[in-house]
Amino acid sequence: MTETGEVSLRPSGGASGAAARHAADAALAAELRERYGFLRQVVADMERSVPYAAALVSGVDGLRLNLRDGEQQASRRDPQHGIVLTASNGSFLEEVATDATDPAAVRRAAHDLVEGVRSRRSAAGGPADGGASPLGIDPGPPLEGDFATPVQIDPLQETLAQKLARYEALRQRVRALDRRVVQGTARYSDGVETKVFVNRAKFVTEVLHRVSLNLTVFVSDGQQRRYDWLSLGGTGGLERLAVGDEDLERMRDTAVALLSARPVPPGTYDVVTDPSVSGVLAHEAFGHGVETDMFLKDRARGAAYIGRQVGSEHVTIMDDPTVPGGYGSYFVDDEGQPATPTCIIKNGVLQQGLSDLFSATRLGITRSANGRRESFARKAYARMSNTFFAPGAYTREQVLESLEDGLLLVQASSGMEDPKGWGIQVSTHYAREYRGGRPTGVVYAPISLTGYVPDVLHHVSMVADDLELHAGGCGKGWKEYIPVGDGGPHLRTRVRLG
Amino acid sequence: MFDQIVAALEQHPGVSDWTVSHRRSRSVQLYLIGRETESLRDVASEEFDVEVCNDHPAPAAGAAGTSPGTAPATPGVEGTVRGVAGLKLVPADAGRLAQRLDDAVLMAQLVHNPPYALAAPATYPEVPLADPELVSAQGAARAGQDFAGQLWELVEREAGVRLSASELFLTYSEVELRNSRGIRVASAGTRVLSELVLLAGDGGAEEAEHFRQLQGRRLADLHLPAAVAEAAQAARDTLRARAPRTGTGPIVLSGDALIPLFEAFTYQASAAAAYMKLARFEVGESIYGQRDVTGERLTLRANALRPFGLASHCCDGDGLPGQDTLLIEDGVLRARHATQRYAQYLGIPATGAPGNTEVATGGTSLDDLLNAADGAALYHVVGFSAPDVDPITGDFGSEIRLGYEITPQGRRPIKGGSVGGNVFEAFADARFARELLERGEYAGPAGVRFAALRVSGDD
Repeated sequence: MTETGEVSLRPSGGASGAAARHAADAALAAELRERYGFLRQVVADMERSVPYAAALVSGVDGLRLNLRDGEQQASRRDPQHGIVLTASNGSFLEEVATDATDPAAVRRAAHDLVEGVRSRRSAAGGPADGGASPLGIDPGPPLEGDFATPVQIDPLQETLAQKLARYEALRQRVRALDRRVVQGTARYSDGVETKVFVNRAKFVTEVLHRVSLNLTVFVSDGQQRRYDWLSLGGTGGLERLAVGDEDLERMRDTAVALLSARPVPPGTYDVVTDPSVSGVLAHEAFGHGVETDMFLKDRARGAAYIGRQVGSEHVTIMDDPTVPGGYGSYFVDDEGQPATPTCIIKNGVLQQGLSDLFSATRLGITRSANGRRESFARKAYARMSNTFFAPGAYTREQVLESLEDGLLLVQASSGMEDPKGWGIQVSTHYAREYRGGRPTGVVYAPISLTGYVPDVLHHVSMVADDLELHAGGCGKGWKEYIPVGDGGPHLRTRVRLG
Repeated sequence: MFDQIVAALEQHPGVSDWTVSHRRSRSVQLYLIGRETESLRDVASEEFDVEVCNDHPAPAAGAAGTSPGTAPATPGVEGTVRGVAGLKLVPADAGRLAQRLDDAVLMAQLVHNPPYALAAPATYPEVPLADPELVSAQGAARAGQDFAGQLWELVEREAGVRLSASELFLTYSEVELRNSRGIRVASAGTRVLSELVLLAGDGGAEEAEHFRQLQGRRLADLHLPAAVAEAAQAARDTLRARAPRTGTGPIVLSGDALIPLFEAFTYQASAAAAYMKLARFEVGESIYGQRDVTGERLTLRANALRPFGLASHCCDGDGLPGQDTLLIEDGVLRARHATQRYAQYLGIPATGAPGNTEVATGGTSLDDLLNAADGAALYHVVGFSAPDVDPITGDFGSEIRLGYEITPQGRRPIKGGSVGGNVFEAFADARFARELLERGEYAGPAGVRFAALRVSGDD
């Protein structure tokens, strides 16, 4: 690995496993410090003209494999490498982002940014956007540190040939599961994300290792095609991607069962949500709903409900970037705030939001570590990390056995928030019918869960103790995609399905 | 750096063929909260998309990395397979080109695909893609400020509505593509993306929002005055909207609620779907299968040549010229859109990336489609929260963000609940509006009336 965190296709030499990765990441951090040490001076120079300045260098690199019948693709995962310089003009934040990161180019970009702020300020006869109140940004307490994801089985210690052989073999196992299988696909990715954040109080480096694997089986009865998938991912190494025979068999059984699935009769149902559906519920309901940039825009009803009951006493929702192995885990956010857990809802009472630098400063609230960017080329917003329902006191079996007449909702595929109206949509792959606490064998698909968020949360009557986190991607509206985790235990509630 | 990359590819003994696409972009990004600026950003980036091909002997069946279907497919190259590796390069790679290229060749040597030939030089159509106002950085910055001023003024004119937030991205890109068969073609284009959030209030504490994403090649393509007026009305209607009633019945989908449904047909008409054995219908067959067709039949084109179309291009990523392809005519699949690679795998003409979706309009006015004269309630949905259409099964379902319940007694706004169905079934009994809507990558009927879709609402 070199200073930009790039990934070699050849195994790195030396010591093996976790210790070798730890040593390599320490060396990488030292390289990053050496290479970007000049940013301290760049920030100091900028702050001679503006009240606050910061720099973030970020890079992503890695490998992608895409395997299916008759076709194999291997590619370098979209590399990104660049710097964003931030300057407060006293009222709002102005930024320049560029992929030129050598000292001369960065100093030139910093100069242009400050000059732009100055010229707009003089054209406006004072701070730009004179209507806004002064923006007093706190750089936070001093922080010097190097952080790296612990890795047990290092993907960078394996050759491409080894990875191809492993995932093609896995795909072949999917392909051979049943005579009705018409296609099996495997998508693998590993990547290293490097960051250097600098402001007048901080100089922090971060190395994140992230892996993901998606297996999909497609079956046909000659008339129609159905499919099911297994999706794994996390921060760390290949230990996050373990697949067992039972996982593959469950995938096959589901895909085959879906060949005889019927549409769910529209209506309101008692349901149990599996951890993936619970996770998307948490994410859409009170993840997006408490991003404080949405408070600033008057787009979140939750702003008026801090300290108020918004769900049953069984509901506790967390956002935690420190979860070991979480797909959305990190050590420091993209605006230099050290990662800490945030309790969003405790026993049904809304506690606090998830903030970025600008909205926290404008609103005068305590910052959380949720200022995240899609890349150096994008603005930071208040974003989630790993968002989940906290586990409860029941076992999974107790929760399912309580379903007298209802549905188990399985495998969330997507969701959508509506922080202003508190509507929610969760698209779910399928549902299994339960009567008297037992599955009847009837399968419904597809399932659209909709409802009014407080209704859904107030109806949560049982929470199991089987917390699981899943890997996912999250957009802000229809763009700004970042990796996140979400999850929860099995939950019992009542929702509208169609 | 481009010339260096090309020279390195040409000299590398492990490279059988190559394609390089160089993209340079500059973007002005403006973020507004109400009447204040939240952020102003200037972004410059450059990247090279490199595809490296390595032809090598086919591995023994069952060898690591082989998969069914990787047997040689091209006469004359018996026993040869083609490995392809994707390599994206950024300026930070400038000092390590040789190592990057070695890595890509190594990747290509390890994957095995049926051989195919790269695209050959062709005559490329002239397709206008750029707004001259946005080509220079100064022009884009000025346009951004003008946009903010116009937006504030337009919103101020709307009763009961205020601007929550808006984002504007003005991007200019230059792309040059070369390949080892001699293609050398360049194009330039602009893209405009705006997000608009309006809040409507009732004078008390209650407010409702309407979110709209606008996209086009030119600022004028956003039709800002009309978009603000429509968004303002939508925000006011959302404020008094109630849930629909549960049932199955006629539904008209229009605008953003309608457009995603056609994606399932475009996917099913692709060579990729056929090659993956996931296509539901063959060329020459009805897209409705055995179903009786009681409505108007679908005609759909993939057109990359529409002036200023968001998905228009003079040349796709393989170097194929942009084309206008009739995919479905009167409900019958006429052709598949095929990239260079899949076209050869299936032995069909290469059409290139599909471009814009164009759907033939129908014979009925949208007003007539919205007529509920038979006494039953008709739902008209204008926006879903997140349209979720499965291109393989055709199943779809989504929460209603805004719609209307229309009865002989009048029209009331609805939100919440969901609409669900299967597109391949629904289009067998559908009537298309005669009004043309052009939005982003779509040009086609402004609305479609489906005879029976499921609504989940108040029981």
